[in-house]
Amino acid sequence: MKNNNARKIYFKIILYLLILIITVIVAFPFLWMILSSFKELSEFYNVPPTFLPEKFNLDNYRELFSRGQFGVYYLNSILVTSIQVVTSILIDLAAGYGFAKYQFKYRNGLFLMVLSSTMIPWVATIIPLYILVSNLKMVDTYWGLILVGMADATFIFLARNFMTSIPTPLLEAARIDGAGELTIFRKIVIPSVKPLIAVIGIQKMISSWNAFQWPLLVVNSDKYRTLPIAIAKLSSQYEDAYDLKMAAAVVAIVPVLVIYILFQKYFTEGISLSGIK
Amino acid sequence: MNIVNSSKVQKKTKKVNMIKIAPYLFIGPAVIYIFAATIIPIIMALPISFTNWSALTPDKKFVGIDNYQKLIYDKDFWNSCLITVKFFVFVPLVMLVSLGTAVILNVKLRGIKFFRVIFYSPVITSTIAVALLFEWFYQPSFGLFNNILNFFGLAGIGWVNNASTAVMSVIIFKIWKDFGIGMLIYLAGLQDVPGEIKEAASIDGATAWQKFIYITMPMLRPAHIYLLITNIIGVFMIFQETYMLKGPLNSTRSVINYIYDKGFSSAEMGYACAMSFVLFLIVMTVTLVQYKATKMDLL
Repeated sequence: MKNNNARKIYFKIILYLLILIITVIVAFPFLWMILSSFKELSEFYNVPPTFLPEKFNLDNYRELFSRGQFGVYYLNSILVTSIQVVTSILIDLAAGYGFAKYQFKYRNGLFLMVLSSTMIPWVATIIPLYILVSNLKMVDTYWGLILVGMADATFIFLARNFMTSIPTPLLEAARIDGAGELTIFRKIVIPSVKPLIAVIGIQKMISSWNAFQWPLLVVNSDKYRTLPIAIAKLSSQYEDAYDLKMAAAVVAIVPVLVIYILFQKYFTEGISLSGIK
Repeated sequence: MNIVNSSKVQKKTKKVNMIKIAPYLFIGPAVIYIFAATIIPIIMALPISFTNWSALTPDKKFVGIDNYQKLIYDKDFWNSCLITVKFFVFVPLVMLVSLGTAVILNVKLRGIKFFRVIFYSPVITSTIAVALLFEWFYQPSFGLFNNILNFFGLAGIGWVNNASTAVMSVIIFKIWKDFGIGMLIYLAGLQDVPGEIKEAASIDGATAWQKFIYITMPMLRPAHIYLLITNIIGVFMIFQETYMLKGPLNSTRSVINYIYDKGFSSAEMGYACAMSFVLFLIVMTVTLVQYKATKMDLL
């Protein structure tokens, strides 16, 4: 019995040690990135490297936002992300509700179309999409940047699955009381799917904020660049400016990390909602 | 009396009509969006691949299967395929890391949820932004990784700056970035393994390792299949990682990087479209195999 207890304690120590090592591997880069963004470039060449900045200064951020126009990129990212989050919630919820709670012609066919569109890889559609968007004269405009990414088939699928659990008698009762279809959607359906809205909203926010492939194509001029595009440009133009690079990475990553930690339960919930196990 | 009645009837028919129209109004915006952003482009892709479409010249000609013939003799294309194949090493490695971390986090300890949050955090960050960190870590003379190697008395290596280690460096980065996805999926699967079966096995004298191999692993089958397929597709689609961490002599130029270069840097859109159509067929085959495999699993 004693032997068993000792084994259990060893087991726990090893486990904690492993968890500690993985935590360091995962979290250390973020921590060091933040600390290093306050360093001067010369400090990056130190061997062995310094963990804390020798001289704490904000010059890198000043440089990014005054000379580097990161203020503009930041506003662009916020603009595109917030519009896409709103449109995505509205369009995906409405479609999910329509597919879940109505009987109509071509319902299964249209739903199958939505579902199969999730299997098409982006690379297969991106060139024709670019040609379409450029025919509409929307290359290098906010329209081109925002319209692609307004809705997501995966979220429609998620919303539809979630909404089938809304009891139909509840909707029928409202109909008998004389409520219109839109009123039912607004007053009964929306309030009962708040967790779904949170999951879609937060996941869309992250994916819009990090979006790269499409913005890279559709944006040419500086004033429409979003953060990831600006960062990719920075990295190729100033290869050795590690100080600026760390500040730019902080600017793009830290807001997302904060939101993630505040709302983390909606990320794990999203995975259980989508039923992947 | 009659008038009241008829107005009631009118109201009722209006309602019935609304119920018929409403679903189309609800699904309308989404269906239009998916048509415009996915269905029409994928239908356009094949015809475009038969033209010499270019952003630079306004006149596009039908060139038949020229693009596909060109593809067969394009050494750069096959080279990029070969590089993409090299990236497949990522698939078993990331699954192993995901499974390992999931098993560790599945143990009941105080505060274990906190670590789940931390381990998943790289997944939600921008690949482009985190790549800046790894650019610095991989720097040969003062980067973190070579500093660590030197600390242990080993010679530093070139990492991304060396054609022979560049792919490996990108894979390490991608594992760090992506293992959290599989970790959460494995964790959900592990929590579904009923404790009674394991207890019964313990009574029969099974060791922890035997229980893991003969009970837990088979029960994780759906997770294995799902992750195998999504990671394989993920490797076919590798782009952002290799866009940022570029090895010398095109040593990390994946198929998508090559398609991107051809389509948008050299403006050979027709040709790029042909390549992406071939890739599309490959990925679709993999996806269909996945559906077959998971269906089989459900039965």
